[in-house]
Amino acid sequence: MRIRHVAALALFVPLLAGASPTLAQDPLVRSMKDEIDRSMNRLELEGFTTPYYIAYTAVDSEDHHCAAQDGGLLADDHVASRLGRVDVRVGSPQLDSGNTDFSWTPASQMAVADDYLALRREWWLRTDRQYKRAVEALEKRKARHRTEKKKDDRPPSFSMQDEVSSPPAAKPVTIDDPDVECRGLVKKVSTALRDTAGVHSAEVTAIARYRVRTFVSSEGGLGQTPESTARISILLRGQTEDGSPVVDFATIDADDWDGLPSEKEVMTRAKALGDRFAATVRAKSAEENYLGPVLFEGRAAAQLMRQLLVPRLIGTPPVEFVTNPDEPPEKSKALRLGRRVFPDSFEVFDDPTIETLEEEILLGHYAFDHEGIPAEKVELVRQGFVRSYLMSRAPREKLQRSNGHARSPGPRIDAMPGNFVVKASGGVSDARLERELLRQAKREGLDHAFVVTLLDDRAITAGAEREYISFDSGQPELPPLVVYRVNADGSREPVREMRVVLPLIRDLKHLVAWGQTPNSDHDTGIGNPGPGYFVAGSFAAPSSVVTPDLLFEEVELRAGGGSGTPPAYAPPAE
Amino acid sequence: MRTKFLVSAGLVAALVSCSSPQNNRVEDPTPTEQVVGPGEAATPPDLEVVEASSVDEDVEALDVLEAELSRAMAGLASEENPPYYIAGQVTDEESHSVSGANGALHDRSDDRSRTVDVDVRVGSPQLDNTHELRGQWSGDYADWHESLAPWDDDVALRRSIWRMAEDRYRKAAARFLEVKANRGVRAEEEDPAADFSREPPIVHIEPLSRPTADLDTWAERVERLSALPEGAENIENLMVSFEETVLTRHQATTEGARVRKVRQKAQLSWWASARAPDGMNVWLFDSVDLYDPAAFPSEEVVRERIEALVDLVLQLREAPLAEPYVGPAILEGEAAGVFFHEALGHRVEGHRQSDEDEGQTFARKLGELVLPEFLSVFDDPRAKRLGDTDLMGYYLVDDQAVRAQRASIVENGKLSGFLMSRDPTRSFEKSNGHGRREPGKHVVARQGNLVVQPSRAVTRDELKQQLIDTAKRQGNDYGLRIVRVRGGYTLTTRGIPQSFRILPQVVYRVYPDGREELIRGMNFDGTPLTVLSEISAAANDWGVFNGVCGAESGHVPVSSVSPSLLVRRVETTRSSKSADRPPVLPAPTQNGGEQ
Repeated sequence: MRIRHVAALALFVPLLAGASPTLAQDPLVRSMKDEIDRSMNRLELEGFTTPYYIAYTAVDSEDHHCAAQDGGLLADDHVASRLGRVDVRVGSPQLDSGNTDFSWTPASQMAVADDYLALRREWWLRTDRQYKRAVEALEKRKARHRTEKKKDDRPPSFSMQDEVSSPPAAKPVTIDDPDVECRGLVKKVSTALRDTAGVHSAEVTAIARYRVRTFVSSEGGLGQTPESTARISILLRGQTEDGSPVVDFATIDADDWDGLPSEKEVMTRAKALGDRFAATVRAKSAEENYLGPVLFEGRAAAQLMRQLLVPRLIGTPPVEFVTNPDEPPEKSKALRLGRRVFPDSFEVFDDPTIETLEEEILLGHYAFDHEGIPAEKVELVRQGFVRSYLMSRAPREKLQRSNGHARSPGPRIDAMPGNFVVKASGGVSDARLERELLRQAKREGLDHAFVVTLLDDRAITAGAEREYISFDSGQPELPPLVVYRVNADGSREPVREMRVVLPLIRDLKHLVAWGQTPNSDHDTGIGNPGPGYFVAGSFAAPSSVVTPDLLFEEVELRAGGGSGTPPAYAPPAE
Repeated sequence: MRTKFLVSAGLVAALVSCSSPQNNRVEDPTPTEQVVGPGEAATPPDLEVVEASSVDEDVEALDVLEAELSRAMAGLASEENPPYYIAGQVTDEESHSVSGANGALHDRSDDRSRTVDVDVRVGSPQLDNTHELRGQWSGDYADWHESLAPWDDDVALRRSIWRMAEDRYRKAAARFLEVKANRGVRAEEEDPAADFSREPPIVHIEPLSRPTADLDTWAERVERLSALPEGAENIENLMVSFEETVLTRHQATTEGARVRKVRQKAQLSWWASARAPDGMNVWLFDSVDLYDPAAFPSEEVVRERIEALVDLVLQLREAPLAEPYVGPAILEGEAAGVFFHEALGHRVEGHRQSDEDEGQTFARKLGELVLPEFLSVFDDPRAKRLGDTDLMGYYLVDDQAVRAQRASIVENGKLSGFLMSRDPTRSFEKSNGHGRREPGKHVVARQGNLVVQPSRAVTRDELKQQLIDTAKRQGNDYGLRIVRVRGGYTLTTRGIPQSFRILPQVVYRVYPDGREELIRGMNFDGTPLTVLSEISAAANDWGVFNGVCGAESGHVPVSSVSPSLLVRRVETTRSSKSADRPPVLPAPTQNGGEQ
């Protein structure tokens, strides 16, 4: 596995638009620093404690978004925005106002102009609000603790550690006018796909997001880093001849607009998607439920790990309910440290310092997290056992410090993945993996098995297919978009309308086999509320999950579930 | 962008019936309270009413719409319940906006979008899929069906219309079956009116327009205008926004109507807020709304208005809190307009007269006295301005391709009509061009420009004196003068109180010696029949409320025009307020210090 590492400082250099302004010259940084200094020195409500820690984060975003449907432009936006978030903590690191259901740090819109006084006013009012809230949160928390059984092992509230200290960066270089290129591309791709058999709507969206994130804290933390992502997503929706809905998509990701492949390559991938869609439209619908070996192949394997494993390795302790004392405490979903989760040959790590893996681009790289802690590689699973968690500055038992993964878009700053990699030795070739799948099936008395290659992604389909909760197991039933039946002779045929009952975490221990090639699933952090819409400017953090193909011993697939309607009254206009 | 909102909350299911309806007549004067005289003959409002005219132009979007609607009619003709009517609407919106806050550019955006709506009717005009489903919540108003559509490719647009028509037809056909079943098992309806009126198809093409404002210039202007005036250190935020929008709506029906409506408008607005020592967030909003972006007043004039608003916010911050009150009040023109919009306007919308879930306050009162005899009320969407003030409720053709008409609501105190869409009632079979909607919603009857017209009026000074006299007679220490409101809302369905609430922002106590005192934190609550019957005089002035009204068919721009009115008895309550202290630290200054 080849990995490209990037030093934090080197990340800035190629993107600088010009000479970095000095700290004293940057009105944004100056407004942050001056208001933090003033607040730390003077912000005090009579009879209450003063803040012991204040941090400000500003995210300047420039979003280029264009979308086409069936060859016509649906959206064409270019939005510049600035969001600000203020974290005020009162009390002490041992017991403070954070991580309760009353403590939240919402991000909100700020002036986009670099006007020192206007920005200071905004920081001033936000700090005032957050300080008062923090005072109340701390008092509620203390009151709650007084009514609880004494707990000597309660972890501290906040880890005090070295924060980022880097020179401010200038804004990243953005392409002069990606909109022109963007408009042409999305129209061309959607035109090419609209006549695909069974397609009712061919939507193509391109987004390029350039951001500069600035962090200043009362502990001397100072960081400014550019971040960028670009994505082309192609979404096909349609209907079979009997009226069943069909949905399929493909995405092409890069860490900036110029990193996207050539138009020719995009068209090639679009055609492949169109061919796959047409094959699905012609495919038979699943007639019966299935229980047996299933191979999660390609992106579906990474999507599955994102849903199944990532949430169980997040170490942020559960939020403490202080608003309603009768609320039962939230339970941690994290797997116990030292517990086996995979076979021996598996390792899992998260490394935000890498930009590529096996020449595949990764989106979850960053210099420091949303709490100003430099990004660190963290070994989560070694030889199949859980060794650590993704941590923010909210300590937990046995893990008292952050490893630079506080990245959730808020208002609560949880740990989130950056580049989450599942790696295993002893992987086998694709051909052998398929043979193993059939061998397992035969052992179960089955003459066929299934391969899942793509699961639904709501950030792209906006929930085109609904998720259900299985009545039997209580597990979610995921709508897979691409499923193949593999016959005993090795032939593959697409199958429609089959749903995957999400495997259990314990099923990972019993994986039958796995592949050699890493597959990735990227999350750009850019939501998709529906065709043509997008959410400009946010704290959302991109991430990537990488994993080999995974062969499960036993997974349940359920037939049906599609909400079919009669076939359309006429074919679409040409 | 902040804007003034008027809300009709007419969606809650009925459970409890109120006692007998409120008295609907102007009461005789009691021995202790004389009705004051309404004064001299009043001057009618200086309304500029535009007659519809059409340009001769081929409109490609309409050709596309018509072609796709015809294809849908043909394609669905063999269905068990085929459609008898399909209407399509393509709405293009282009808007540009900038805003500045506290002297700095806050945001800037350029938006363009196209949406498609398709309305399908299954059954017959007498009974179709839109018929009320009695005894159950139908969810119709929550059925938002807007869809973005491509704006630069005809094939892509046709496919959008095709998808929407398919979807709307399937829902309409299913609902029609529900309607038939519902009719079969329920008691006979009170109102036997048909579901859809027959109207002649019209052709109405307005000339195209594009945004014309120079946004760079406006960005600099709003930055300058949003700078806090000297001495305004207690103002937490001053925001100034500019927005120009061009809305182009194409409508075609299978009856043959072809309409293109174009509305270009611009708004310059400003908003200032401060926190009172008791935690109340006090704020005021003002705006200039125009159809011609070049017609804005000079920057100096706007600055003066902003400074006046800022000054008023600072006065409000220090003003005493209002106390619960029963007694006389002057509703100045803008406030009176909102009062009529809420107390009367929503209750005379046609669909509320036949819907058995509605309170039907006025449904059976045609010809009866519902206001004092010196007042008449009409709604005329064709009125483009009153004097120098543009009216935002102006339009010439409604969203069902019916020409807007002046609708007489009250003539000399007697109820004379309703605001009608193509949804008939037992009394009115035809639309008067008030069917309106926000894209994605179902059309219902809505207000456009509601105008309150007195036959007799007094001067403003005389009105104030009458207020003082009435307060004295009622034994009150003072009367109220309600100058500015931020909006209001009304409840119209059965089972919940048939009440309205006006949200005043600038209110003065008027003492017997004529002295006035600003107060804050007040709501004006009432039930319509009672409060309308308490109006005793009107002034010879005119006020305009331009705002946005939200109801079942979404948000639509509206205006209310009214003279200042004296109401003999209103009831006010305290408004809610936050409990946040003012900021602990003073505002920062340019040099890093404090104000």
